Amino acid sequence: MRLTPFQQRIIKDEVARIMGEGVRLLLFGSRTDDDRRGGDIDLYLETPERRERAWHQVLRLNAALQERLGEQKLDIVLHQPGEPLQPIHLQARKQGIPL
Amino acid sequence: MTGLRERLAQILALLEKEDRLLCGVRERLFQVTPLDAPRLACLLETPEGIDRLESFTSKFSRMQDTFVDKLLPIHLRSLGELPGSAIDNLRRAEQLGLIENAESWVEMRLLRNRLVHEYVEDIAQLAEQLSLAREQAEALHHAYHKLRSR
Repeated sequence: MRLTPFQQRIIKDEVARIMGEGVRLLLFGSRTDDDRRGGDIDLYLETPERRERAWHQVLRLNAALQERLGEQKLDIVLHQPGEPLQPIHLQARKQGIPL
Repeated sequence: MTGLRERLAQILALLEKEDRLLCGVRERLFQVTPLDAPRLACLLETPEGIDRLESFTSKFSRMQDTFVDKLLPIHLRSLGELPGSAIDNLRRAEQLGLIENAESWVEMRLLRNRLVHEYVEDIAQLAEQLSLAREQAEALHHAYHKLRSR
């Protein structure tokens, strides 16, 4: 995985602060591949229950991470119970590395 | 120095226009309050409603860009400071008391990207996002007036 321990710490802290505990967090996409360089940080989040305004939590998380990690291209994909699984969710679940 | 002052005056003049246009369309779009999902759905049945939404989104985006990418760097330079990345400049603007919270300004930029790129299918979510965008457009208006009075 191509994230420094410091970056991983920040991501985990902010997910806990904004999304609360119990959220499944996976890193997927090009940053899981040690042989590549650069690229977006793709995060997959899964909430244990359905939430109101979950899109706003994701927006706040993205803003907080950009603030703390610097201007990075971050893509955050969210899945909530009861929502249909899209190809991107399946890809993230299959390939993702827990943080 | 004269060049810098002229440039600042030009950007402020541009912002004055953008501010007036954004305030106008904000009022027209949010005429019906609260603009909840059923009312928004109704509004988007009409060509005027669709135009209003598009116009609000594009003016909201444009004013953010002018403020963050043009005004802030020039303003910092006029104070004798060296501007940095957009996030650095927003942080500095927060320290200077020009804006309330740098993080919510980053959020504002992310929100407008969502409003511009995804034609949101979920109307309830679009209504919630617009309500946040409305608050943010007001924050933009206040920040501009604060900076102009300095």
